[in-house]
Amino acid sequence: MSDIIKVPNKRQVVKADGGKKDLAQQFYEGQIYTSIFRHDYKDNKRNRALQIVNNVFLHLHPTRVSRHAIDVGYTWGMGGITLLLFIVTAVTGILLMFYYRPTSEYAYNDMKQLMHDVPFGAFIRNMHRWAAHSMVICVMLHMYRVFLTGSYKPPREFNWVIGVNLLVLTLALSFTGYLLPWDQLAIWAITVGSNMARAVPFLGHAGPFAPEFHQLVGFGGAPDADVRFILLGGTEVGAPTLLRFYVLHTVFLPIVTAVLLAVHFWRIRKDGGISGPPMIEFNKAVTDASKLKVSVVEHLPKYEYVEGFKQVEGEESFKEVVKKDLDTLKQKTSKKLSNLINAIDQAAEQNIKGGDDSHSHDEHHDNPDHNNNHNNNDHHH
Amino acid sequence: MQEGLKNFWHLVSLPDNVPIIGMLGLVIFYTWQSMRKATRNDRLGTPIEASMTDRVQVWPYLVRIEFLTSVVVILILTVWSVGIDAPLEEPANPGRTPNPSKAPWYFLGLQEMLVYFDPWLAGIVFPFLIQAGLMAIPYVDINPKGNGYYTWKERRFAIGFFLFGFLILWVFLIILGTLLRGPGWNFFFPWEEWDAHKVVAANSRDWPELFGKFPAKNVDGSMNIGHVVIGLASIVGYYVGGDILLRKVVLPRATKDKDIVKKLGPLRYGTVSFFVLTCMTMPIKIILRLSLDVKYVLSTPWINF
Ligand code: HEM
Repeated sequence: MSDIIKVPNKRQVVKADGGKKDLAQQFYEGQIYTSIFRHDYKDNKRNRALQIVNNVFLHLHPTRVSRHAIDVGYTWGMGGITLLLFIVTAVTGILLMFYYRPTSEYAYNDMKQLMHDVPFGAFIRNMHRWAAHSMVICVMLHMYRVFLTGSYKPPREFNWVIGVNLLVLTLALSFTGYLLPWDQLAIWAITVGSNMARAVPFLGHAGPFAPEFHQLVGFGGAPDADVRFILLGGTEVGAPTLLRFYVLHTVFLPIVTAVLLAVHFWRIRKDGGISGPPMIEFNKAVTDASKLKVSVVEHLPKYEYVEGFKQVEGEESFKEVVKKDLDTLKQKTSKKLSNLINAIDQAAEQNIKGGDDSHSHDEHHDNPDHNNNHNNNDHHH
Repeated sequence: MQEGLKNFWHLVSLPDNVPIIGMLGLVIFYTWQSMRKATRNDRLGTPIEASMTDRVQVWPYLVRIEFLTSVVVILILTVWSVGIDAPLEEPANPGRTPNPSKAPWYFLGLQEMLVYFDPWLAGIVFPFLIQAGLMAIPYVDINPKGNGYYTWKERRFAIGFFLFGFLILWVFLIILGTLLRGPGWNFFFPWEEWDAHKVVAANSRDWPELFGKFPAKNVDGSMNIGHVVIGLASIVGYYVGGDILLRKVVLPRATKDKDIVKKLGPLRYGTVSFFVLTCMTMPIKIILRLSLDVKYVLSTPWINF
């Protein structure tokens, strides 16, 4: 019984040793486990990193982050909770779609049935609604946090812009969903909300300059030819509105949101991970740069910070500013950190002397810690 | 009084309003917490966040937080979904308008603005400007400090203005619209009974009429030139005066930097000035309405402000 059996998976050799291994060990070394996870089970640094990198969902993360980035008191975890709530609404929403028909004959009755006859129908619907409300609240709080920690500042400006669009999309998702129960609450809330579209300047029939505009182009000044009509598919909230909002709510807006979320998360990585005070940005740069074997200065996510100082302090050259800044930082930090900063000093010196060293990003592309800000290259020369 | 409080409690405990009460609690808590951190950082000189310079492995230190948070959030949602049913009222009936008719809660701040501004402003221009203004923030805030930690001293103007916008113009107006607005969108104190026939003084005065006989239209229906001149002059005066105040006093003092406007440059400063002053028209119009019963600052046949 103790002979060696070669399994088809070439990387693994499984020993059948007559039960000397416990069940868990057999499992972790067996074909099924090794086919799913491409590293062994042992808890060590390498495997912890691989656990992140080799998992399509987890690899949104870098393998390591600075300690303050996992401090719940810093981020409030609100971005992550918003994502979770988005996923919960997507899952419960799909379940609701099995029962719900978006026509004015059926919609309300389907809702009633969901609430009273479908097993777990009420639960699913409640969960969908409360998760949706919570998502709106959490996205607002997330924005609040990002503002208060100044995390929209360079190099994260564009991610803030994407965020604002996500906020609008979240509100639009919630608004279009509000109509679907097709009860009094729904149609009147949507009526109040969409009545605004009447007042669009030029394009809404009650908006300023709409009659004049209508004379010019034949659109905008009449209840049956303005933007509100396009939005509602009629002059008031009715059956066509229900269908339109349903399609927007279940197809269009979720897809756009998911795409923007992907961009949002990708940008967090590319912008150097979760924001932090200058010292942390420094630290990140040093670790990342030493891994990548590329020049430190060009890859400092902190570059913009220094650039800001240059602007504030006017005449001084970039080099002086860096030096001065480093000096003040050195005074403030622990010995360990000032050693690191010395290393940067040297590297910076060498870099300035050595001029251009060609380095390729692609070579290091699958390095798990590769989350520097590439834009910095542009400013330097 | 009894009836009023009962009605108020009914509002607070409406299924759709429960999350809003939760939001209020969270906003208060986070505001307090971040201001506490900000003052502590300001006192220390070096942000406390900067002491956490070492790096930790995502697996397990971050992933476990994410996992636990997910479990807690889903638990809360589960209990909530078992305990409170989502509302389902009578079937849609286009013939019967409920009073009050309220937009979904997150738009109640804008619905509140409808009291003070015409729909094209409150419902179209302001939402558009809010979006544009939010997106402009990173490009007009050139202060390199306060990036990645809580602070107040280093970003007084930015934070002060944002707190005003977020807490007063957004969160507070949502709460007001949800709990204190009744039939006819009239204001009711929590202890007041909702009276569908509450008579409220109709505001019939326009701003220029405070200065004499300058109604929007003369008796024969023609435009009153005095009205237009005063109204227009007031609006232009507000922007010019406000701009000077912002440039000469508010910004230099708040940022402790005499040259801040020069550093911002014309494009950035112009953007800041426009958004700040336009945003301030909201509280100003509210005050004008409540104190002087002003309906419009300027009213023309095409457009009212
Ligand atoms: C559907 C909505 C959103 C989701 C799911 C989301 C998710 C996230 C997550 C998970 C993070 C990581 C850090 C954290 O949790 O705080 C993050 C960071 C960030 N988000 Fe969002 N977000 C959303 C909307 C927004 C909005 C509305 C804004 C701003 C207007 C925004 C701006 C940012 C910025 C600038 C960062 C980087 C923060 C830093 O590095 O400290 N996001 N987002």
